[in-house]
Amino acid sequence: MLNFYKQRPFLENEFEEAEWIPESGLNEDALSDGFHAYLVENQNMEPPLLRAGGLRYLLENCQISINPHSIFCQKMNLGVRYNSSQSDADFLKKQLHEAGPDIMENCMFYPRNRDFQEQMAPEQAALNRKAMSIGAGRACADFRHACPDWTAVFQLGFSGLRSRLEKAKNEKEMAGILTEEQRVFYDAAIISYDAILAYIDRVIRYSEKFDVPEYTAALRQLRNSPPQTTYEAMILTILFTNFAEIGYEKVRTLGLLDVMYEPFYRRDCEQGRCSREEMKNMLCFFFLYWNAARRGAQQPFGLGGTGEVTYLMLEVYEELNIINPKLHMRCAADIPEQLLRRVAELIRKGSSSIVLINDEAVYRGYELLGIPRCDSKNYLPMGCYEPFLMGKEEAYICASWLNIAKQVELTITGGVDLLTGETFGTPTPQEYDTYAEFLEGFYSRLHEFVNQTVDMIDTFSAFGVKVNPSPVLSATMESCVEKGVDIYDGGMVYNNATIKAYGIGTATDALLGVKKLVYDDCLFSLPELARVLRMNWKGYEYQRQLILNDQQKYGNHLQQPDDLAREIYDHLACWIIGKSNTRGGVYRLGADSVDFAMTEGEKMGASADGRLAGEPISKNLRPVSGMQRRGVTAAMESALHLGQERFLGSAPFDFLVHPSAVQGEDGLDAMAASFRAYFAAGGMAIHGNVISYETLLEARDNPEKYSDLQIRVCGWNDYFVNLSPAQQEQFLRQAKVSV
Amino acid sequence: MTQGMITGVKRFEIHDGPGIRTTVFLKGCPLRCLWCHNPETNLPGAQLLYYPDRCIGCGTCARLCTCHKIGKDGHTLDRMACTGCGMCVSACPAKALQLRGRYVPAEELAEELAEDRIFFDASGGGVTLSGGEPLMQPLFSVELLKRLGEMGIHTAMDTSLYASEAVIARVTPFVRLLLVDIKAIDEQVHLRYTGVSNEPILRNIRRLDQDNRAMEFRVPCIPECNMGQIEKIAEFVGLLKHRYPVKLLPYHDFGNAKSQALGRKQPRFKIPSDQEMEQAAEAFRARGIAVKVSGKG
Repeated sequence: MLNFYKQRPFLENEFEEAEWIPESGLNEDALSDGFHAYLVENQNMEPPLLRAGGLRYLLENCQISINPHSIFCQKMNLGVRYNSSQSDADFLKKQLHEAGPDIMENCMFYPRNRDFQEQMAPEQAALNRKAMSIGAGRACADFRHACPDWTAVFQLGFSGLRSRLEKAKNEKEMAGILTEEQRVFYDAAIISYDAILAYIDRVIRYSEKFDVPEYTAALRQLRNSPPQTTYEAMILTILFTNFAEIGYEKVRTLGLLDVMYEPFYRRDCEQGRCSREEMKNMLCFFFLYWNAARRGAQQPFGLGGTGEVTYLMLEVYEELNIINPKLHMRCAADIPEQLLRRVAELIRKGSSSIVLINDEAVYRGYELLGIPRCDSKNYLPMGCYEPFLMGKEEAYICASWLNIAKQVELTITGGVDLLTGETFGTPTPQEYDTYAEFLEGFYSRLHEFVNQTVDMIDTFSAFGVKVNPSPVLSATMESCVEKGVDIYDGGMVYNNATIKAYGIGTATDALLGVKKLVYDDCLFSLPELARVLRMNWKGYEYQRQLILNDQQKYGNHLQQPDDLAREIYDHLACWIIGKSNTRGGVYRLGADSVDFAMTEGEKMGASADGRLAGEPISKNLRPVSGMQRRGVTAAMESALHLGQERFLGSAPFDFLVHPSAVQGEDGLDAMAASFRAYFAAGGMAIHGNVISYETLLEARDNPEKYSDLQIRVCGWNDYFVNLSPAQQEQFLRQAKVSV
Repeated sequence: MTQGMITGVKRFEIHDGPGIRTTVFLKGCPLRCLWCHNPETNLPGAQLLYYPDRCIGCGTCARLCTCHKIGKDGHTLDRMACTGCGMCVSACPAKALQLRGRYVPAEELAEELAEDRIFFDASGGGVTLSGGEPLMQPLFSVELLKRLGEMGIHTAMDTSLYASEAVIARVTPFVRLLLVDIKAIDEQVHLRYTGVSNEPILRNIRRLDQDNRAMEFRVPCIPECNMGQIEKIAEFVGLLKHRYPVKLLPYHDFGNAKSQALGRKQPRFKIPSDQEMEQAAEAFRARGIAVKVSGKG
């Protein structure tokens, strides 16, 4: 097998530099024209069949590239950007724009959420647009976070998945219970898998012409049966992801790779096919493949084992120092100290893409939904850090975000957006006699918006199968195949949806700001405060400093703010968790903010905690930037006080410390111990940035010297030098107080 | 109810004893080390810190107290007239004025210090009394240590051991681990850089050694001042009845900003090189003493 270190120069840019075999298919332009014609011709076809036919067209006609420097040779040419790195399928998006709206309605290859929302549910779409424009929140049917049932993929292989479909269809047909919708479902899936098998045949034909006998042999094996070796398993992971992502979905986790590969690796070793060094070599190729393929968006994978492959993967990960694929680490209560320390070491070294997720908290979260441990024990983290049940649950993990802090702003103004002057939601009073009444006013606004969000998600997701049927992924799900129903049509065992409510730090501090400024210290009346906030505190610097420096801030393990923050989530949990949705499932609650803390902060006026207009709001479970005054453990305890078992939709804690705080072996012990303590007390997830203010300052001023400095942005990580100046500023502010 | 005066509490500390620790800084110190990194703990009473870059020039302090003036050059402070009453501090909206030193009841403080218990338990950590010199407030320290002990929390004390025999005998039985500073062996050197004789310190160390108390020695390393004493310190530690671990603390200048805020001028010293630290460590290693350089491995 090839040696990774010798081939590395040929791999870093292998997508940009792919050489397409001319005779293997149509060039990009011709492929694009043909696809366009296909869409026009078939616009009245049933959506699942249209999608399957589209997939077949692309796989039959696209050009292929075989890179003899890689051990994962094949690439498909579906358009420049798709192949260069982006899986956003801009090529397909272009097709739709050219094809016009009538086709767009019928086509699921790039069902941009907003377009279909506008057409199918104008009322909810208008509300959604407005909520987004003022930074209050957003909702959609989340087709962007998908995952096959990797267990089925590995057990059955492509041909096995196809036969299972055929068998299910035949059984129903023989029994005379096959409905028209089911027939469409099965046919679309069978067409898709036939297209996939034919494509593999094509790749085999071309790879035979190159000197890549191992790859060709592996493909032959995978063409007809499930994988037998680690190498084949890796190829299957890559191929399946390639096929599943032709269209709109993104495969947001490659599965628990160490758990899945460990048995293959053991067998390989026993039969003398593989050694530790060879495995490491393959893993280098494998990880770098994803890093090269996904410059823009990250490809997560999970670790959940404690075997040799787990440590090997960490070793390779450390050596390559790449930001992609990013790593989800499942942490059982009895995770070995050695492993936890190893992960802490990687985080301290700067591998900021690692997220640790607490098994116990996830199990308890599912128990709240009535899902027992026997079902939830095989959960998998997806996307940024969201748990879901692979093969059983469609959780719409990013169906909506709801900005809690914005509702405080709207309560102060009686429903008027500070920056635009537009009204939002039902108008509420401009004045309240007591703080308790003000707080009630806030809760009633929040409740109203929760209900509106639920309505939006229910409405948008009702069109799921029309705009985004998913035959390739559905075929891997046992329940979908059994029922003959698509994932997005309620085919899963659990058809849930997730609402994320973020900005708890800013919301809590702002509510307590109102309490102090208006009701305790009587510095302003509520309408006066609204006026001061509209003026962005101009002329009121004294009062602003007074409130900024007030002790009562969330994230410091203080009773008043922590109790209030918990109370807010008590309300949200009551309204959201377990509430039925229209697909037969229930709602889940999450508390992470991704980078909306930044972008939606820009749309918010000044807030009563002393924050200026446009500044970021608090991120995930963290206190407001600069307000972590009693150290990281106090911030962790505040976060724990929220009752995190309710945040099944995920709630990471950003463990941000100065390198000097965790120096040496003692420092590693301390990191590992604090993770363990946080999890034992019910924390959901942790990700870390161990970085100093000085380093960040240096990196900002001398980007060329720090091109490899990683930083955890939110759900993903990036190189610090790639961040916008505003984002860099945010990290500098956080780092300054983390000492 | 015993009250004590502290400057503050720091959580998630890993350099003040085993595991994750919460460290409390007690006011007052009999030594005046030239390189002191916590100068705001020197005096037994409250001390006023002023940070000019935070001042927004609102003039609130000047209206409350004659020590403050807001003139053409901004804010000026008459420290000689300051009584440390703290009126200006509670009125300053920007926290440009800060008072270091507040009275807290031992009972209340013990509760606060125990907050990070889950982290202590997971890491084998606990609470460290530091300062200043905790032995300057013996009754308060004893009360605090007792309460922490009752809660089952591991206790350590960062001390110079510059105290009377009676104080040592009263306080140390409640401490699980003593982190003892040794700055010099030659009395003259010690006098020159810390202002006091080391005679009681060395005597107390020997006595505690006889009493079989758990100790760890810490040696601040300031090239211009005491690094010529390293050999002698190593020899002294080597001749004790028990083997105690030693931690070498390379000089840093973090104390200077605080000194400035206190209106004092603190001399700046050279930061020792890795090589110098390694050499110092070798002196201990050669005598079979376990030694660590702070911030390394």
